This record gives sequence, C-alpha cells and structure tokens, in this order.
Amino acid sequence: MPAANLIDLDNVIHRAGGHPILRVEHLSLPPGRHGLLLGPSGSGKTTLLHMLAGLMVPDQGSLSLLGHDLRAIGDAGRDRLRADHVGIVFQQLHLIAAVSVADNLRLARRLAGSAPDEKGLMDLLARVGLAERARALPSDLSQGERQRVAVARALVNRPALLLADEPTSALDDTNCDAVIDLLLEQAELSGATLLVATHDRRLMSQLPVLLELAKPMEQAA
Amino acid sequence: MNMLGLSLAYLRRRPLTTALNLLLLALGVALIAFLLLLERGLENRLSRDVAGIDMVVGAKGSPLQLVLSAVLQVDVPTGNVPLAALEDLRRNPLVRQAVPVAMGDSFGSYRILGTEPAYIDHYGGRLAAGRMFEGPMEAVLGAEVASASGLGLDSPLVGSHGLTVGGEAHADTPCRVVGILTRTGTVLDRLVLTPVASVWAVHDHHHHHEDKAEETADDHDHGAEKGHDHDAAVDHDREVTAILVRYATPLAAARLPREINSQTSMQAASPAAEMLRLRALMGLGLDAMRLLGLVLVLAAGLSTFVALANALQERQYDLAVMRALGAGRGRIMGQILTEAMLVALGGAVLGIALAHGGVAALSGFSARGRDLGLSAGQFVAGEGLLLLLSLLVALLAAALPAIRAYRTDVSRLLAKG
Repeated sequence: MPAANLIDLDNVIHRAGGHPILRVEHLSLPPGRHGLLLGPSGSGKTTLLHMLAGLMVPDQGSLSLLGHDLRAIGDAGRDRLRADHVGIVFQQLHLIAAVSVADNLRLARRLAGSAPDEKGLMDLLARVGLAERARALPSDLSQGERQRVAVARALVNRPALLLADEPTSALDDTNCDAVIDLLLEQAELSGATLLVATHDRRLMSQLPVLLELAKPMEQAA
Repeated sequence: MNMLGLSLAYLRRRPLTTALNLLLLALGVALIAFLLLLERGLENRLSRDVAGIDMVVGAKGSPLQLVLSAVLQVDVPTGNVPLAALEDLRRNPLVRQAVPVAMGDSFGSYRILGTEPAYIDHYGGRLAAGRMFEGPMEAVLGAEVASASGLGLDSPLVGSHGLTVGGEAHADTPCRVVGILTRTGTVLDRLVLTPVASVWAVHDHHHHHEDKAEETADDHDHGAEKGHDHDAAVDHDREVTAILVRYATPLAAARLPREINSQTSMQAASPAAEMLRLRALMGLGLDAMRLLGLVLVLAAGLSTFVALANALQERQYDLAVMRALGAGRGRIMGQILTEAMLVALGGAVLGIALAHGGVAALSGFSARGRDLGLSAGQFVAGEGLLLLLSLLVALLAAALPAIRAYRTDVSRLLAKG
C-alpha cells in the first residue's frame, strides 16, 4: 500500500561534537504540498534537507520517506531510494563541469539506474529553455542558465520529492521570483512535491512555511 | 553518458597530465616489450644457428669464442686445426657428419666462409638463382649479402683480408658468383659461401705475393691459411678454422669431447653449453634494461596516483553530487578506478605499439634486425603479462584515492558548499 505522506518525521535530534544542532518534533509532507523549511543560517536547514534526501540519518528520532524508515534501510537502501524518488538542487548547483548540459542529465539518469530517454531529456531541457544549449559545457552558461540545468537535472528521474537548498540566496527580487517560479512550475509539470530550505523570507509570499527552524540554542530553549 | 564516458571526459579535461602519465607508462612498457621481442628474436636466431650442431672442434682457446666464431660468425677464430683432423673425425664411428669451415676474409661487412655444400644443406639453404659452387673461386651468396651488395650471377666478388671491414683487397683473386640462396633466417643469409679450396687459393696467392715483396712478418688475423707452408702445399699441411660435428649416437657426447680435449692439441666445444653461458652473460644486461623499464612503469604508477589524488581534491564535489544523484559508494570507487585503468590500458597499448613499431623500424632499416628474423606482427606472451602489470600498477595507484572517495562524508562536504 503506498504511503500516505512523502515524509514523516518525529522527534528528530541530530548532534555534532556532542551538541544538538537540529531538533524537530514533527513534520509530515503529503504529496503535492509544496512548502518551505525556513530558518536562519546555522539552524540546521541543510542538515535536515540532507536527512530527507537520505544522505545522512538523524542520531535520534524517526524519519521515513515514502514509508521507508531511513535508519533501517541502510546506506545502499537510502542510495536507491534517493535515486528513485528524490531530486536535489544544491545551493552551489554543483554541475559536473567536465561534461555537457545534456550529459549532466544523462549521467543523472544513468546513476539512478534509469533507462536512457533522449526524448524526455530533450523535452525537459526545452521546458527550462535550454534545448539549444544541450551540448554546451556548464562553464559556457550564465548563472541563470546553470540554475535551470540544475533544476532539470534534479527532475530528470521524475522524483516524487524535489528538494532545493537556498536556491535564491544572493539573488535580487526579480531573479528570486523567477527561480521560485521555475522550481514550482517544473515540479508541477513533473508531478514532484517541492520543498525549499531557505532563510529568505521573501519566499513566504509564494510558498507556505511547513517548518520554521530556530538556531540550536533557541531550539533547546 | 556512462561511467566510461565520464572517465574519458575527466581525462580530456587534464590533457597535459593525462598525456604525461600515458607517455611515462608507454615508455616503460615499450622498453620492456621491445626487450622481450628482441630477446625472443635473439633466442630464435641462436637456436636456429646452433640447431643440429653437437660439437665444434677448433684450436685451443675460449670455447665460447670458438662457437661464436665458427657457428654464429660473430667473433674471431681461436686459430686453425689440421685438415687431417677432419678426416680423422669422418672416420670415427661416433660421428655422423663433420663439416669444415675456413675463414679469414670478408666481403664488406660479410664473412667469406670456405665450406662444403653440406653446410648449406644443414641450414636448409635453397638456391634462389644459379647453382651450388663446384670448384675453387666460385661463390654462393646468402640472401642478405645478395640483397645488400646487389651482386648477381657471374658478378666478380673481391674479398678483403681479415674479418673486419677495411682489410687489403684480394683484387688478383676474385671469386665468381654462381648462386644466390633464398632467405633462411639463419647465419647463411649473411655469408659468402665458397669451397674451402678458395680460401686456400686466395691465401696461397697472398702469401706468395708477400714473400716476393720480402715481407718478414705476417700478423694477419685471418685463420685458415695462417702458418701453413704454401710452397709445399699438400693436403696434409692444409688447415681449416673449425669443424662442425653431428654425433651418430648420444654416447658420442660423453666420449668425443673428452678425447679431443685430452688427447689432441685441439678443443671441442658444445654449442648448446656455450649458448647457455652466452645467455647468462647477456641476461645481466637485459635484466638491467628490464629493470629500467619497470622503474618507468612504477614512475607512471606514482604519477597516476598523484594525478588522481589531485583530481580527487578538485572533483570532490562532483563525486559528492554523484552520490546525491543516487550513485552508491562502490560506483564512486569504480569511477576512480576506471579512470586509472583507462590510463593504464592506453599507456600499455601505446607502449606495446611503440615496441612493435621499433621492431618494424629495426627490421626495416637494419640488416642485423632483419637477421634476427623479427616481425612487428608477432607478439610474445610476456606482452600480455606486461598489460596485466600496467593494470595492476594503476589499480594500486588508484586504490588510495578510490578509498578516500568511498569514505567521503557527502553530506558534510555538500553542506560546506
């Protein structure tokens, strides 16, 4: 039976150097409910995002993705789950500089074990306005174009959950709106649920806050 | 875009480093492979040249020198032996065949060898043109001599005194070319063959000429005529340089050499035993060269290690992103290993190609190379091992960077930005 929620998180605590750096009592995310993980720098947004992606597990508490307990399924299980169901847009984008735009997407499909789908891949690039730049190297693109490649790469495996880490930091209002519009539009078109980790309160006008994190000291209080 | 394509893309992004690593490995592999090919050629050549000759009888001296001079035609003779010794050996029931060789002159860089048609038969010599020599001053050319000199049938052939280039020409006593042999891949190819009587005749004439000029000293390095009394030239005074013997029975190996060494003023040498000594002597030099090649291969491994370690530093985010995209730790490790293997495979293949190119050049431009019967299209088993060695060195070089990549804490790295 399919899980009712994409994410179910309860009483999660994560520590670094013996001190708690993240404490979350509860978070549930049903499919299709886009939203924000809001919090200032150092509040553990990225840590939580990485946990949701299965890149790490909490020291304490329960966390499941699509009904799978991320602590129980092990490293390989989390890799598989992430490949099949999660797309991530990193703050620094981290495109593979050695290969072309299209190859960045092909590689993402390959690493996820998905069958090649050239038509789908080119359609996706067309959707983000980069069909003409498919063979360009990331270094030949503008920052905005690189951001669109990162979004396309995150969606190329048709994930159920699209995570974006600080996608609008250091952007002016116009570009901030454009990036969120792009993420929302592409998530909708791909049937993915968008979760944005940000400290940028401007986004509150476009997406609801699902969870607001405080700094660790405040969390403890 | 598969892992191989990605590895190639990364290698292309560092063209200088990749080329340097490839070249280092290729040079090491090429050196070792070239030595392997050369060694095999030399082994084959030595085996072909000494095959079927059980014993060489010659003047006392170094047995290795005797075999080198009388069988391989590469050293100066130890001296001469009486022609009567040939007759004695032929009468011996332990001997199946005894063939004389007489030398002392050369034609360019090729030796003129006085012998009998049985010598040519022994090496499987066949006439490509003309006929076998039948009388004195008739010569049959080995294939290499004919090809290098351009001499044809009926051409006069003027030998020069001594076994090295630049001796006094025997212009008054030219031979006539009556036959040309097909290539055999043996010592025959680089010899001018003539009856023993030709060697005697040339040097009878030479000594007569010298006596007339009241020469008092004869310090020539040639062999067959040395010391004989040409004014009283009768067969029992004649000498030959050496006698090549085939045994009639295995028992001969135990008796004949001992008898000759202890009861005559001659020595008997076993080509097989002397070849073992020669291989041992050559082995030292070849081992030193092989060691140099190995050092180059290891240096390439070290260089690959440094390159991969640096690349890992540069690409840590790429590898982390690949993990985030769903690649397992094993796959990331495989990516690093694939890259090293590609360099190793490319370097080894390039090295082996260079070695075979070297062989092709050697056999194309050098008579000595052709003489070894080297073929660029032939491979030796050692080359396969060399390929495996290269892959192993690359595997070791990539192991540490791959393990580091395997252990990377992706989340912490990506959180750093």
